Amino acid sequence: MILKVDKVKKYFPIKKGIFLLTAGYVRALEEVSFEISEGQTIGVVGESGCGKTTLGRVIAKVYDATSGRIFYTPHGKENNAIAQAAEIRKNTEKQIMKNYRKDVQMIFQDPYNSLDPRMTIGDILAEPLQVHKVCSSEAALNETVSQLLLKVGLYPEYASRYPHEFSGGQRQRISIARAIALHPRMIICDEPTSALDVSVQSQIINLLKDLQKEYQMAYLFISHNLDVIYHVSDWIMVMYLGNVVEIATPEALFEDPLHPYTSALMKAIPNWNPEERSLGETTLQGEPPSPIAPPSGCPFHTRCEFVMERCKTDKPRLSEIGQDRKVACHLRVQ
Amino acid sequence: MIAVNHLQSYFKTEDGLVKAVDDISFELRPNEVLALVGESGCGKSVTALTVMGLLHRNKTVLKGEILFNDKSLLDLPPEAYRLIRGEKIGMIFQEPMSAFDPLYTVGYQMLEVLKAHTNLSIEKQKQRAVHWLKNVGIPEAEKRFNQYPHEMSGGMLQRVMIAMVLMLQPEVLIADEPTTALDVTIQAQVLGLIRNLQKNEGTSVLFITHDLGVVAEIADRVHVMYAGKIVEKGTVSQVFHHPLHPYTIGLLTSRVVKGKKGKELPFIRGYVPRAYEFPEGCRFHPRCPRKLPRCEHDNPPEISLETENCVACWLYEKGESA
Amino acid sequence: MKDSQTSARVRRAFFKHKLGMVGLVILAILYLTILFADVISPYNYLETHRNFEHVPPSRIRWKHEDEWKGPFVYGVKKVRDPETLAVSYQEDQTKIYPIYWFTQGETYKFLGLWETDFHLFGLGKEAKGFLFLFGADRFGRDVFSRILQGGRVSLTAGLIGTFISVVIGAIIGALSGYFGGWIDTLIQRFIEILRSFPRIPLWLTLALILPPGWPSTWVYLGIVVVLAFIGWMGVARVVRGMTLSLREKEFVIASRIVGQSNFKIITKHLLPNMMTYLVVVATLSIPGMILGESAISFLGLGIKEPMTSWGLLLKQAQSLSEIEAHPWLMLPGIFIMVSVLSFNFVGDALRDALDPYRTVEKV
Repeated sequence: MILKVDKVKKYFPIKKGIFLLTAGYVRALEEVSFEISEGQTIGVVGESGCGKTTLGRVIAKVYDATSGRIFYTPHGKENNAIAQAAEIRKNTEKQIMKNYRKDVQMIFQDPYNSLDPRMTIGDILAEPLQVHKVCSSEAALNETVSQLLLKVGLYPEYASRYPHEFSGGQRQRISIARAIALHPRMIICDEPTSALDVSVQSQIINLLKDLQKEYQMAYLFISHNLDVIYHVSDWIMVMYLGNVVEIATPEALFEDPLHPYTSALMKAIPNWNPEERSLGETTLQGEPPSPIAPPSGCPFHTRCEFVMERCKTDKPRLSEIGQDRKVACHLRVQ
Repeated sequence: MIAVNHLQSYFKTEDGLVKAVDDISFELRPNEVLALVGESGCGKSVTALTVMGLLHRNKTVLKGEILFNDKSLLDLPPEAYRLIRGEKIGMIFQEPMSAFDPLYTVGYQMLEVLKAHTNLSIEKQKQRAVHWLKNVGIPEAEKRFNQYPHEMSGGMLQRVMIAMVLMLQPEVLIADEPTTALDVTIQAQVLGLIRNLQKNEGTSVLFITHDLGVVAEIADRVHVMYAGKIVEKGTVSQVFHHPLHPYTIGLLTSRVVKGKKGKELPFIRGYVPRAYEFPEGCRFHPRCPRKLPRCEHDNPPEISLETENCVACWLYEKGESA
Repeated sequence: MKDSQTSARVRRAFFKHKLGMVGLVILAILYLTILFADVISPYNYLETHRNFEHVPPSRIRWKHEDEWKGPFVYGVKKVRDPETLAVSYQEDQTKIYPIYWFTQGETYKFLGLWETDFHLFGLGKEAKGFLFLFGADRFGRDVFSRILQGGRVSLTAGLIGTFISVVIGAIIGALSGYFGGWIDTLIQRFIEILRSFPRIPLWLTLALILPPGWPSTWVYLGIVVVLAFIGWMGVARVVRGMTLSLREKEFVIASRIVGQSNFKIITKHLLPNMMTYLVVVATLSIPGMILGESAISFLGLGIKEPMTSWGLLLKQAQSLSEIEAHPWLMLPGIFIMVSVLSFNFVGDALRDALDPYRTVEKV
C-alpha cells in the first residue's frame, strides 16, 4: 500500500465583504475513502464539478483537506502498512513531506498551461531533480534530462527549446517526463488526454501504461471519459457532486452498473455506430445541482428516475454489495 | 442548399500566408445533417466562418465560390450578407457564454434579434421567443426569459442559443462544436435536441466537430478534414463501416474502446501539423502507414468511387487497389 | 513558433509604432544631453552674472552690416526707461562676439570628477559678451545651462524612483497575491487607504518630513524615495493581480508538487512571467514620477538650490507678471512636457508590442 485516504472532505469557503467573512462553502468533496498500492490504477470518473479534480489536488497536497486523513507508507515499509504509515497533515514533519513530494507527482489536463513558458524544456525537467538534489553534477543533470526525454519518446536536443515550439501531444510527453523524473511511486493523472487530439490520445495512454509497467507506479487516473477510464483502470470510482457513488472493477461496472447515475452516464456516451443511435430518448434529464447548496438526502435524487421518498431525506452510505463492489444507493442497499 | 467550390481561406500573418483551408468543395443538401470532422487546426471552423462571412476581409485571402440557393455569397455586399446570416443561415458556437452579452437578459437579446429581422409587434416577438425557449426544452421559460446569462449553466445557455438562432427559422444551421464544452450527459441532451429540431423544422445542418462519436449520433453524411483539406466524403455508415483514407481508418481504430483492454492501443504516429508548417504533397504522408513514394510531392486528387464515396488518396487511383 | 520569431515580432511591432519611435529618439537625445550637460552648456549653471539679470535669449546672427561673419552675437546693454524706470536690454551692435565650437569657458567639474573649462560651444574665455540661448534668470545665470542641469535631476529622479517603486511593488504585490489570506487583506487595505489620499498633498506632507538642513544630494535622494513611496502601490496592485492568476496556473502547481520552495516559485516562475508587464508598467509610470518631482519642487518642498530641477526652475515663473515680463522662464515647462509625452509614447509602443491584449492598465 502506498496511500490510504480516509474520509477526506474538502470545503472551499466563499469569502465576502471587506472583512472576508465566510458566507458559505463550496462542498467540493464529501468523505472520500480508498487505498492504492504499487502498480495499481484507480480511475475516477464524473462530470465537471463532481470533485474529481479536487480529490486529486487534495492528495497532491495542493490543498489541505478540510477533514479526514491521508496516510502514506514511506518507501521500504510497505509491508507494515498502517503501523508504519505517516499521516500527511497540514504540518507534516519536513522530512516526511519531502519524501511525499518525491513520491507523489501529478500530470495535468492542459498541456499549454502546465509548462512554464519562460523556461526551456531542460530547465523544466531539471527543476524536480535540483529541488531534491538528485544529481551530483551539472553533467549528471544534463544526462538525466536527456534520458528522461528519450524515455517519453522525445529527442535530447529538445532540452534547449521552449514549450511553445511543441504541439499538445509533445507537451504532454514533457509533463510526463517531469512527473517521472524523481521516480515517484504514484502519479495523479488529471485528465491527461482530454485536451489532446483524438489521434494523439492513444499514444499518451500507451506511454503511461508502459511507464507504469516499468516503474510499478500507482495511478490515480481522473477523467470524464468512461472509455478511457475503462481501458486504464483496475478500479473505477464514479463521483457525483463531491460523493463517490459507486466503486467497482471496470468489467463489473460496464456489465452491470448499479447506481442509476453510472448507468445514465454510460448511456450518454455516443456509441460510434450510426445504425444504433441511442442519444436523446433515454438520457438523463436536468443538470447537476450546485455544490454550494447540494440537495438533502441522496445528491442524485433531483435527477434520478427511480427516486423514492427516502432518497430525499436520507443520504445513502457507500456500502459493500457483493464482492469487491460498493454503491451508495437505497435501491441496492436496504 | 449550399455549394462550396474550390474554396481557399488563407490568412495573412507575419509568419507568411497560412493556408487554413485549401481548395475544398462540398455541398449541403436540403434536410440533411452534414458533419465536418477533423482534429484541431484542420480548418473545419475556418470553413464555417467563411461560409458565414465572418472572417475579417482584410486579413484573409478568399478564393473559390460559395453558392447559397445558387446565389454567390462571396460577391454580396456586407449588408446583404448580414441579412442572409440571420434569416437564412444561423450559427451556434462552442462557447455559449461568450455569445451572449452579460449586461442584458437573454430575453432582451432574443428580442433584439427579432427586432432586427422581423416586423412583428413586441407582444408577438415575446410570444415567439418564449415559445422557442419552450421548444428547446427550457423549464419555466417565462422566468428564464428574464434571466441574465450568468444565471444559467453552459448547457442551458447552449439551448437558449439554439432557440435564438432557430426562432428566425433559417434554412441552414451551422453548428460549430456545439457540445464540446458540455458534460456528456448534457451533450446527449443537446444532441437529441438538435436532432429532433432538425427533423421537425426541416433545417439543413452543417455540424462541425472533432468527435467521431458525436458524428455517428447525428450526421447523415460526413466529410473528414485533415490539414486544410477534405480527405474523405461519404455517408455515415460508409465512413464508419468502410473507411477508406488511412487517416480516417487511423482515427476510427485509435478510439479507446472496451474490447481492447490490456493491449496497446492502436494509434496514428506523429502529431497534427500546424497550419504554417503543412507538409508538401499529401499532407498526411508523414504520419501515413501506407505511404507511396509519390505521396511526398504529389497532392492526391479527389477520387470518386462507386456509390457516394470520395477519397483524396493515391491508394485509390485507378489501377491501384486498396 | 521559434522564440527568436516571437522576439522579432515584438521588435517589429515596436518599431512600427511611429509615435513610440519619435519618443524613443527624443528620450535618447535628452538623456545624452543631460549626461554631457556640463560640456554642452556654455556656462557653469551656478555662475551668476551681475548686470545681466533677466537678459532675454540672445539672437544668433550670421551677417554684420551685410557682411558674412559666421555665427555671432552682439553685446547687450542695459537701458532704463526714463519714465517708468523699467530696465530692458538692447543689442549693442558695435560689439561682435563670434561663437566658437570646442572652446574654453567657465570652469566646472566634469561629472564631478575633474576640473575643466572645456565647452562644446561658447564665446571663449575672454569674451565680455554672453551667449544666453534661453535667456538669463534673475541672478543672471544662463537658463539653457540650468535646464540641462535640471534635467539631470528631473529625468533621473523619475527613473530611479520608478525602479525603486517597481522593485518594492513587485515584491509586495507578489507576496500579497501568492500567500493571500490576512497578509493580502492587510496589504490591500493599506494600499487602498493610502491611495484614497489626494496625491499632491501626500507628496508634500512626505517631502516636509525631509529635514531642512540636509545637503542637496540627500534631499534629491529623499525626494526619489518619496516618489517611490507613492509609486509602488500601483505596481503592487498589478503584480498582485497577475500573481493571483499565475499561481493557479498548472505549471506553478506542478512546481509546488515537486516540492519547490515558495521563494523559488516566486523568483523562478512568477516574476519572470511578469517581466514584460513590469517593463510596460514601469515605462508608463515614469511620467507620473517626473511630474511628481516637478510638482514638489515647484511648490518649494523638493530640490533645493544650488541643485536645480525643471520643477524648481519653473518656480521662478510662478506669477503672471513674471511670465509676461520674462516668458523664457517657461521653457523648463516645455522640457517637462516633451519628456513626459515621449515616455508615454514609448510606453504605449512597448505595451502594444508586448501586450497586444491590453492586460496592463495604466498605473
